[in-house]
Amino acid sequence: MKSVPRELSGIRDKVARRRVVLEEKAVKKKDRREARKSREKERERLGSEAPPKQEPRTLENTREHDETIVQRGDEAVTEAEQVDEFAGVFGGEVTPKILVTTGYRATRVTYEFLKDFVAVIPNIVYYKRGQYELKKIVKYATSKDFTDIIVVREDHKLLTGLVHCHLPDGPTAEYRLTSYLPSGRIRNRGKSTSHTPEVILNNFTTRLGRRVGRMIGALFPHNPEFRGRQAVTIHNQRDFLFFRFHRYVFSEAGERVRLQELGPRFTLKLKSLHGGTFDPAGGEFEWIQKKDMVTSRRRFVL
Amino acid sequence: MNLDGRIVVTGDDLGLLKAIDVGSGKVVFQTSISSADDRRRVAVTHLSRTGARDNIVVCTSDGAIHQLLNFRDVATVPGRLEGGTVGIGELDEHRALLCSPAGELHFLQDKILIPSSMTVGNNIQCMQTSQKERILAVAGKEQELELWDLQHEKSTFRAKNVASDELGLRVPVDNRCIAFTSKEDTKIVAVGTGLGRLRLYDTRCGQRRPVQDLDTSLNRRNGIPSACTAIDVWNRSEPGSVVVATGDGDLRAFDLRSKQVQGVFRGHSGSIKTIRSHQSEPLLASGGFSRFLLIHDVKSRAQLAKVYVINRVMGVVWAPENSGKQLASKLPADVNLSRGSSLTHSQPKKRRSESSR
Repeated sequence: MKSVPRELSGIRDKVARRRVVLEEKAVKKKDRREARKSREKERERLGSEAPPKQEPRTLENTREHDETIVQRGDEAVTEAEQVDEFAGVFGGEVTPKILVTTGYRATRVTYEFLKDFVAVIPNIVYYKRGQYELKKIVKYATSKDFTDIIVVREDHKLLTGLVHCHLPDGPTAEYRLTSYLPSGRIRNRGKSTSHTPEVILNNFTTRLGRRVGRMIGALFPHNPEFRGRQAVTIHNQRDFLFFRFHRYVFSEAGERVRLQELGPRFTLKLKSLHGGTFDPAGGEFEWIQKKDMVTSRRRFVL
Repeated sequence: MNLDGRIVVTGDDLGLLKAIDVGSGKVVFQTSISSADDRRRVAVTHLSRTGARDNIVVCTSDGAIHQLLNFRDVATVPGRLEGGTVGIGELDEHRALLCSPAGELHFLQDKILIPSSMTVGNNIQCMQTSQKERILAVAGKEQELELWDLQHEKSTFRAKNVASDELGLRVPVDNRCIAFTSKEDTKIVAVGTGLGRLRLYDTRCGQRRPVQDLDTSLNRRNGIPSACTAIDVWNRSEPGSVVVATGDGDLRAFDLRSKQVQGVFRGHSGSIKTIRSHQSEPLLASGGFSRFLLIHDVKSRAQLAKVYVINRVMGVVWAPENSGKQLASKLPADVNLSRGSSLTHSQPKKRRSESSR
């Protein structure tokens, strides 16, 4: 870190000090711009002999080798996915029917979230929680042919998590829910319609990632109404799942697309995934967050 | 330790059987089991070697029994167990014992399934046999541990539930795994429960309640325990040592006399379905929902091998010593070798030792 020049620390007046800082910044920026221009000129001059452009190293592009990352055309995975719990929804044979409820004694934050959530997901029914145990709710929902249960959790008037239980036989995923931005607070938002949205599942690479991606994707019926031009995106980056809801419109020529954000925005992080319906004590976990498995910042599970 | 030529056979949840050379991390043989009526896959539930021959008994979730003969063919045994199999008990070179969740016993003799007249209870979830003494141990959901004498077809020991807890509430019975703590005798039986308790029953002292009731869930999240999924003892251990696997991927070595955790076998991130110690070497093979087969050194608890098996590992068995050479010579030309995965040697990270309780 560069040290503050002596002249700067000697200027006691904040306004004057700020002016000097901005001048220096402008000078630096100009230098950088000129350096970049000269580099580009040099590249043009060298043409094909120019050295390759340097890319900054990020955690994503230096990701550690993971054997569970699914390669394109992996038959074993395709076969496994053809018979998994979500195959019915992905094949279009089963229409998802979701029951959403809250934790015990939910407050306004949960209800605000639910209003937005219920507007995005088609075929969803909200039930008041009352004093029902989740295992009993699972039984009830199974008997009423629901395909999924979602429970929104909060603590101290803050949204904390989401439990997603697929029916009738699981699996069950627990997520941490953060960074929720209500639809009403999104700038220049559009108004959503009741058209079934398209679903985009981005960047689910590993076996576990694909399973989680399919689980979330199975919340939506697989017959999107393209006329509505609405798309739900679940984007995975560094094991954080970003939920976004947009309307898109192509330009006349079809080259460009413009987006308008519609619905809520929130982030999920998988805490655990276990087989069967909700049973954190007796359940057999497919994955659970564990300290000793976090060996590197460049290792991700989804 | 040199793992070259050591073969582990895994069965997964899509009915694939793979023989893996854990030294190189390569799959040297693969075959699949489909259900009888259609080509859909069935999950393998248990694997066992019967006797000295190279036959491996495979139980699948539809209740069918198969045998992998000399790493070549899979023969399906006629007959089926209603509700699947709870486990495979090795009796002797020619016979194995199978039990259904409803408590119906069947003997597998060579390639024939012979139903037994014995029924051993209901809602059975786990079983174990002792080769020497012809004893069968069974336990399950609301089914206490019971030892049966197979020769005389009668019950020799029936356990009793633990005392009610501090609130006076009855403790539910959910026994998930059994092991005789010594391969020599059946005096002390270890049972793991669905709520993470490891219980020891001593059949000598006349006490029907467990003599020890240990908590295996050391890393509790929000106070929620995790189920014990498997227990194993290895031949040459110090007496009184067991390895317990849990539903959240922990594999711990317990010293039963001091009631403490001796150490942890690291590497699993999901429920461990099966653990199997080698018949003579201090090696432990384990596999589960994380889709990896892990080999650990029993004494140092170092991870010696980690092989990606693509699907969830449901059963694991060590192949006989000479299998490596046998497989190399016997391999038919058209066997489709699946892609082997690279071996990752990882040394366990130095950590503070698990504090004993």
